[in-house]
Amino acid sequence: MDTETSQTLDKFAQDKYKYGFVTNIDSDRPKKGLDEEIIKFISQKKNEPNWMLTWRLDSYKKWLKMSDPKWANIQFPKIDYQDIYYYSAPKGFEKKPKDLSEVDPKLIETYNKLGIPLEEQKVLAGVAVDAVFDSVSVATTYKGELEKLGIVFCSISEAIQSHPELVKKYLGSVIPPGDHSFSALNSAVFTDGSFVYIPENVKCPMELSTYFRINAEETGQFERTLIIADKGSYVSYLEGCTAPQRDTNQLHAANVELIALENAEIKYSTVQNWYPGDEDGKGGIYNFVTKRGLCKGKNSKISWTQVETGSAVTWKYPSCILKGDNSIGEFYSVAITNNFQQADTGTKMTHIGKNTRSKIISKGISLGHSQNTYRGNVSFLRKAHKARNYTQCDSLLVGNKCGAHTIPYIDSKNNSAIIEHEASTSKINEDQLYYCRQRGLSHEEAVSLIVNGFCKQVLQELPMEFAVEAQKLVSISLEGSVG
Amino acid sequence: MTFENNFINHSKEYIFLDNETLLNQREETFKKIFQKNYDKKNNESLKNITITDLSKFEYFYKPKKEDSTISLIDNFNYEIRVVNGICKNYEDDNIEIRNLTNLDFKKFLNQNNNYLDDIIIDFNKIFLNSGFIFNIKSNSKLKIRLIHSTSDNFTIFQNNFVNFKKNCDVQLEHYFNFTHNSINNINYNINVEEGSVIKHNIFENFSNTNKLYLTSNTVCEKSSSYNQNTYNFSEGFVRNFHHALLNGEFANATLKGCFFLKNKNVCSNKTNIIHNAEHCSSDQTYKGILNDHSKANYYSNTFVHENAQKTEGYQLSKGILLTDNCSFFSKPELKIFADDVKCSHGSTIGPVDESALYYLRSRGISKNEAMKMIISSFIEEDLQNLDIDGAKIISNNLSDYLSSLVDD
Amino acid sequence: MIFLNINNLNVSIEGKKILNDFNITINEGEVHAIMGPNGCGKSTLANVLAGNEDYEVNSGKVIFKDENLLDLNIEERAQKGLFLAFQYPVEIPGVNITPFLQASINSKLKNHQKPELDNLSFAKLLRKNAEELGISSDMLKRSINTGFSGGEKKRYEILQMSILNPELSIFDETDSGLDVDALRIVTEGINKFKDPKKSFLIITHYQKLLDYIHPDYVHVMRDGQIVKSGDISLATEIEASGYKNF
Repeated sequence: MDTETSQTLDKFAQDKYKYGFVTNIDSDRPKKGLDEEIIKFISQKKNEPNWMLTWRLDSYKKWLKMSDPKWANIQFPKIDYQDIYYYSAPKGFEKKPKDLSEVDPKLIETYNKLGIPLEEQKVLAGVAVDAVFDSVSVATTYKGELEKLGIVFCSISEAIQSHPELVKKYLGSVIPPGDHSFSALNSAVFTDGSFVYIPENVKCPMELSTYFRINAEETGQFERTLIIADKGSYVSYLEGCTAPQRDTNQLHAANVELIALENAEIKYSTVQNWYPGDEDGKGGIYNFVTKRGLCKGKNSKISWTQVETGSAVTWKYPSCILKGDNSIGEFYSVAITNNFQQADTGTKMTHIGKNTRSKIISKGISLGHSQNTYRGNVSFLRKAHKARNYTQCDSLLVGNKCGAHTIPYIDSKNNSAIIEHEASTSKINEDQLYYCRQRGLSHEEAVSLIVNGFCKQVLQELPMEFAVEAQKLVSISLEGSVG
Repeated sequence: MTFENNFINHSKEYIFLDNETLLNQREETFKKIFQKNYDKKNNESLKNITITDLSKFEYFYKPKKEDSTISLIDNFNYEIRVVNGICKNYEDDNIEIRNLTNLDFKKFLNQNNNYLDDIIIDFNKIFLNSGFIFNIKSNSKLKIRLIHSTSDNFTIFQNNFVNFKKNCDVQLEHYFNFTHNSINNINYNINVEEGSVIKHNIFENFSNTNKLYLTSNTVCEKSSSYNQNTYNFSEGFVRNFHHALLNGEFANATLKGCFFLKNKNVCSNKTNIIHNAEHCSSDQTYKGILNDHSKANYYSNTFVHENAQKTEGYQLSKGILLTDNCSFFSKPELKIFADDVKCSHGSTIGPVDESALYYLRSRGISKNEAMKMIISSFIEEDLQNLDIDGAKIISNNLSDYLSSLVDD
Repeated sequence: MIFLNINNLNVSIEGKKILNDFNITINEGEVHAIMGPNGCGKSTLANVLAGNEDYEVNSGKVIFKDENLLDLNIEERAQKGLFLAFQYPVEIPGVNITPFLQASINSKLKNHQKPELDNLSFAKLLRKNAEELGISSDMLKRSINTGFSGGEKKRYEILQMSILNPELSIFDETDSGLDVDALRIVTEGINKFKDPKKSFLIITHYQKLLDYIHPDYVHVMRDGQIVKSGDISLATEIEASGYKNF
């Protein structure tokens, strides 16, 4: 490698995190550690009905018997579950504020810094935001307008009060609490998250959005999101995440469940930019997220798009269970790892129904000393007649201290089903760099341009507002610019 | 017979009874399995195999030496018959072959296949009862036909060492023709020295009363080339696990295979290539046709070490499922720690191309013939390494396979 | 001002010598053609001038616009006004020409301390030039060179040249793989771009291209050196009897 290339690479490797500020707000927290008392405390804080508490306690009992999944290609010290705060709410949130004038101005400022204005007049046209700050949903914008259409968009805590029948029916129906240890943990201690219900034949006219932020130190964030798209409905949901810069590791174990009934479509997009730790791998978020969608009805569709640039360790496999005949599952992913980040991410497509189709496009970029793994499981069960899958996963290595790994699991039990899988791993193409530089672009600009091109297939799946932001994020992850 | 009884029965027959280290190793390995002290859930070496199948067998091994032969068909063209795991000791200007003795313990001490974490290898270590050392001398240009067969219900646990010295050019035709109810756990340690070019064709075809667990572990030195093709037409269970380490620059390793399954047959495949030097290339390609209730899996893995720049690695797996009751699992892995590499893998599983079948039949070709054409074309490029004899064998095997498959 | 002067240039690749005491001088507004058999070092010359890092300059000097060209890296040479139309333009999947070329032109404007083009004025410029070259707006939407035919790729190079407005344009075997129609379109583009401030270095194997471009000078290259220089009649001579007489 020429010196210039290595200089540019060094520059890239010194990525700086620009969302690392801390907001000084007093938090209302119980003691550290996990036991039945804490679960009761959380449930009581949220004024939950008894069935919810029972559900949590059952999940906790399951969790006690489980150990954390070990098969992923990630390494981190054993998590001390007794050294984590399981609930943290900004003071003054014992009751949810009715409107923004009741919200601590510091909070609003925090979200403004993140580029997520809560004041309704400033909200980007067409994006409704539910902001989650530590464990409490701060404000939900655009609520009134959505209500007119019968759309429910609120925090999960609120939904437990206002729509218990829906929550009871669907919560844990896609990710059973006993699925694995992180889902059991989340089911026991989840604090907040979003709830969406789209009624029959309603096309949600705007993008719904949640913005998660971990602020309090040593706080685990365990949100729970539940989205139900009733027959013939459509919704596009965006999720963005950031966390302040800290030396210690923080745990984030969210569960997201999607249910699409007959002819319904859910599009779920994530831009994950949690604090990744510093150049030496100190600090950063452990992002252990379970996301699963159930295409329950015929002709339903669930599409996941993710841009993962943050977190010290990512363990995440947004999946689709294609149960309804003709249902469609999609997964589009960009994962960029730098410094000492580790990502083990991918998807699982389970084809159960006839004519089910799935598509997986994954782009991994490794820099610095990072390890980036794609892990994907595609299976066709006996009755998945004429099912189809197409998978493409490409990895790009920038620098010679990182690793890129591709681990697909492909299982077919039906002879009319067709699976096609392609993967490649290479470094940045020198001819492309030469070409761009011959046209006057600097080495850094050229790399950024080529990487963005490499990710194009995925980025173009994001809703407009997000796509531009994501493109910038990709460049920032490479460039190491601060502002 | 129980696992424990087998272990005790075999103890007296163990080759290295006077080597304490190996005896301890054997005992520890036994304990590990007996106490179920291994990864049970994600253990690739146990895919489509149950531990009960492995440990409950009738240990029986009383071979006679007389059956084994070695003959020179013509100049530079050998035929070696390994009967019940025993070969005939022999040496000339080109080759040297002899059965293992207890003096060969050093080879076992240095043998480094522990990293494989393979239960089948563990069984091989515990019940070891035969093996040979086969040296092919420098600059030899040879054709060798190596035939493994059995003459009774033997349980063969064999470990062989094949060493191709510098600048050899060898075509090794390797046959596995078993009869009776034999179990064959055969491990090959192959060393390909600098500049050698080896073509290794493996033909597996035996009845469903026999089982073969074939493992190979090949080290390729500088500028060498090792090209392996397995052809599995067996009705009996076959496990093909093949590993290659590219240890010197400009080396090449190819591990290819195709399998043809029917009835309730099962076949387990794995290839694994480790790049440990610059400018090496590798290819792993397995193709399978599955009929009736058959079942197969294929693991492949390309591992590129940090120092193995300019690597080119290629993987492909293709499966054709002919019925609704068969299944194919494939897991092609890439693990890459060097940046200047070109690695890729592809995988497809699906039915026979119906439109191609329709097209051919519309031109007056019978369904049987059309099927044969499509399946032949599916494996066509895998036949290129074969000589006329090999191609004939494959063609006959393929006809047999297809005749049982199409009813029109 | 010395526009381009190459003095005793020696270049090798992986230890193999390709250019051997190579000399040439090109003045402002001149069109030079270099012809030569395969392997004579023509393409090496183009790539060395562009700054391709695969080649090693062993000795010699290259002055471009009074500056030592060999001190500059690839993009600095481009920003200074050197353009190489590639023999095989590389495909860059997912990257659209608009952001690419806008960044490219702006890097040059910035380098010359001129105001950069905003999105709108760039889009207008791109559309205008594309229209003149008969490049459809549909083609502008595709990724750079991806899935283009040989002719389309070359037209794309001409489009980029017309926007970047270089002082020295080097064409590396632009005619290879083009049919007559494509060749005509490409050369028309080049001719339209000619003016007294701009110089061209056309590298080609065949005379055909020169029928359309009319160079001021023709040089014959062999074994890494210019062995004969003259006018267009030299090209005709080569066409008639090949390179064996040189």
